[in-house]
Amino acid sequence: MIPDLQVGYAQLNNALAINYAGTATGCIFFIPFAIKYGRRPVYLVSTCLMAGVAFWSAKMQSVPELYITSLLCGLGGSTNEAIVQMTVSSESPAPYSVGIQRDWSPDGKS
Amino acid sequence: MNGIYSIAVTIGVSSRNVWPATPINLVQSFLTPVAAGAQAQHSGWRWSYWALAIASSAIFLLFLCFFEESKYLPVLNASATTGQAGSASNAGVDAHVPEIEYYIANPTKALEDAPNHVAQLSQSGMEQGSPPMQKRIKRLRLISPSNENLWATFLKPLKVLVLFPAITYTAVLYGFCLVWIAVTSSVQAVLLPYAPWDFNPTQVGLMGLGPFLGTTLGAVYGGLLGDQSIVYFSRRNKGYYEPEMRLYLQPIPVLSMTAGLLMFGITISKVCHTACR
Repeated sequence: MIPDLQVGYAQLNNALAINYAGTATGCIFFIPFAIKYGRRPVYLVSTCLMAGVAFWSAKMQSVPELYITSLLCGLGGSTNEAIVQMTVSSESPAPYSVGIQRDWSPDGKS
Repeated sequence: MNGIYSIAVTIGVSSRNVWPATPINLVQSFLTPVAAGAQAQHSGWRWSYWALAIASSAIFLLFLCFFEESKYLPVLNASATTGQAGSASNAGVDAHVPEIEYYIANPTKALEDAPNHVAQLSQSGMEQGSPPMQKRIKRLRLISPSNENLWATFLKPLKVLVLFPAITYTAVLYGFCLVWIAVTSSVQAVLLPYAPWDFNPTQVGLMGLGPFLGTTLGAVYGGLLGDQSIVYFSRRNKGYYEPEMRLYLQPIPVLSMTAGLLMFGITISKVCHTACR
């Protein structure tokens, strides 16, 4: 219900759908960089993107801006679930490894 | 709103224990709409976004200053083997060859003796010691490159998704569960503000309390009870954990999710059949 943007519920639901589309596809682009360059730069880029988009959303004036900010917000928030699991699994020892599952590859656990 | 609070989960998760982070995840998913609805009604919708902007900037600064890189880049200290019979590296392998041949000849004995060997292996691992922790400034490094092929890493998930039907099925199933969450919240957002309910934003936000309660119970059931159940089943199986042991707890969530979605859809459609616009 945003009268000053002249949006109806259909457009708001479209924006939410675009947000989910961004969340769905963002991981495909971000996680290979997390594997190659480490978790920290990807965390920093996604949190920076979220902060920037949130500031932009608070000042948006038109419906196309609504759609673009929703997409970028989804992209920024997409890596959360996967990268949390990556961090946890790379920090703690594998819970049920019995020695035969020790990873001797040069890139370690990832 | 969802994404930024779920980033906050990682702060709780990095202490190696996933269970305390689950309530934070639930708060992020279902309690923030409650707060956002109330705030939107009180101070206008832009203030919800300003709150999100402030929170996400704070989280970005916390990540910049405190979040450590957890990627493991081992340095291999290669040393030439002397080739003598008495050298330490060769003696280790040669001493075990008769043992290995014995176990190849008697596989059932291998299964029985496995728990003892596991204990020995883990003890020897602890004697060697894990690598020392790096200094703080190195742990906060920006980039930790390793020599993988980036294009191959992009294609790997697509290959895995296509070549392993079990993974495809699991991914589709997980996707459908998320689909129902999204669809129910969208349907509520479209129908509830109009007749015959006429909810204001606070009341629409309060509809998130139901899923919050349900997922709390689900987290206890799947997280706590699930982990204890696989320990129980592994003990019954001589200490070997098989992933299929997780399936024993599945029937109850399947039935409850189906029943819940049917109840939601049927009740809303019956009301809408008579009284909606």
